[in-house]
Amino acid sequence: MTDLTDEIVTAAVAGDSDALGTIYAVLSPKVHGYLRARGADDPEGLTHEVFVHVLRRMGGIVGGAAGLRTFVFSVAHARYVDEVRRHDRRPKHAAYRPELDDRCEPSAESTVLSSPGVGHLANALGRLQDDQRSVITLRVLGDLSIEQTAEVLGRSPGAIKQLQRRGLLALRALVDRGEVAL
Amino acid sequence: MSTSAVIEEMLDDLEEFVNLTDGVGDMLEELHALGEAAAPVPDGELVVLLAGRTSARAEALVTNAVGVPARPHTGARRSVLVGLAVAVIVAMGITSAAAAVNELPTSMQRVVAHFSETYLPFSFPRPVGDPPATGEARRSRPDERSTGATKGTRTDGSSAAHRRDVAAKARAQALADERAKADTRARAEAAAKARADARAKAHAHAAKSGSSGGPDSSLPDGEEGNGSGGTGHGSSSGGAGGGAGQGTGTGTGGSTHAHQGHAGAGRSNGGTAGKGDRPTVSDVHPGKPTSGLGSGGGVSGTSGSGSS
Repeated sequence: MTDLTDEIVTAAVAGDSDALGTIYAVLSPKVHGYLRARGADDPEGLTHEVFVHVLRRMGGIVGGAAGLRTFVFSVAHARYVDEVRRHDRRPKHAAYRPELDDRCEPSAESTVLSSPGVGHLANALGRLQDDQRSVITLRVLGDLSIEQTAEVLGRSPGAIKQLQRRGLLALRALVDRGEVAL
Repeated sequence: MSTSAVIEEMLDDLEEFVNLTDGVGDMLEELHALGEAAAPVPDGELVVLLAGRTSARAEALVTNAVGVPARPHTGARRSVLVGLAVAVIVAMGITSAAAAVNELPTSMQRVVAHFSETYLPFSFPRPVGDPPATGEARRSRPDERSTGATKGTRTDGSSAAHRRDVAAKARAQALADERAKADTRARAEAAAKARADARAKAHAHAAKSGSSGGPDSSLPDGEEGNGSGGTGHGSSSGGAGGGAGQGTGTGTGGSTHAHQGHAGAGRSNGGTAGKGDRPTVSDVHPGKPTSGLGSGGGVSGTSGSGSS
């Protein structure tokens, strides 16, 4: 896979379509994976929204490849938070039994949770606190440093380190207790 | 920074606290694998943006999934417009409040007052020491002239007081006119009564002196009284619109006095009837004291009375 360099980002800022395509090819799978790992309902649609937003503002990108990566995952995280808030505003219907309803297809979230290799991962991440889950997924899927992750989440680098450490310790405890099948 | 480098860094940090990190490492590798999938297929507006056509016109040509042309920056434009509208409303409110209490700078207060007098249904006060609004400004507001009242807030209250003064003066003028008319009417009635009294006295005097025949020179204003016979007595009363003449002794011609628009008809009983029926000018011009002509032929005989 082509690595994202400052030259590519500079060309993309100038409007070069090849550079823009490269950026999309490199970063969109990671954004999509991040949104899947967070359990978004429509990760493809959100990925589309994220890159429409990013490409419209390419002219203002500073900081080269690192700056672009930080900006892209900032937008992705903000979109995910917006979706979570939209979910919270919707009325909740209780006692629906999807296994008894053969009229509908499984939702995107159900697909994510039931796909091979993702179910136990989503289960493990779901046992973490939200901030810990954000730090681990951003760092692993976004290839973000501590400082970049701190910038995306609006926290201090020290706080990010602490959240990462506690999250990994919690995952370790889950593995040790056998509560998460690997 | 490579992905493995990130994961190694995270595991190194974790190994400071726990010895075995294999399980966690495997989990992080699985998480990393989620980002290795193929890129989602771009469509619609994203395709155009990836092609480098980032001009506003190209974005405007982009259509969304249902074929409706996309309107980029609509939200930002709307926010700017709403902000401007709110700012304008707030500025107008502040200016109006300051103008209402006459606390704007003099020139600005004058401009606001002129504007309100010309275009608004209410007026702001003029600066202290300024002359009141000219007729030019007032003429352009026919609604206020016609109704005589202003709508909205009249902040100074002087115009309302002025309107009250004008109304009070009009009422006083009307009352004075009524009184003048009544006085004129009373004076006319008094004069007519005085004339009637004078005529009655003249008749009485003539009767006492026993004069008969010939025109009664004592009758004023062309009234003629013809009487014949011996003694006679005639009296008339005015004011009520009728005259009564009574003759005793020799026949006395009924004298007719027309007064205040009433024609008199005199008729004598007893002696020779004296008749006087003559329309007067007062029939045509009511309210104007006129004179009547009574003529009567008197033949000596019994007493008679004439009434008119």
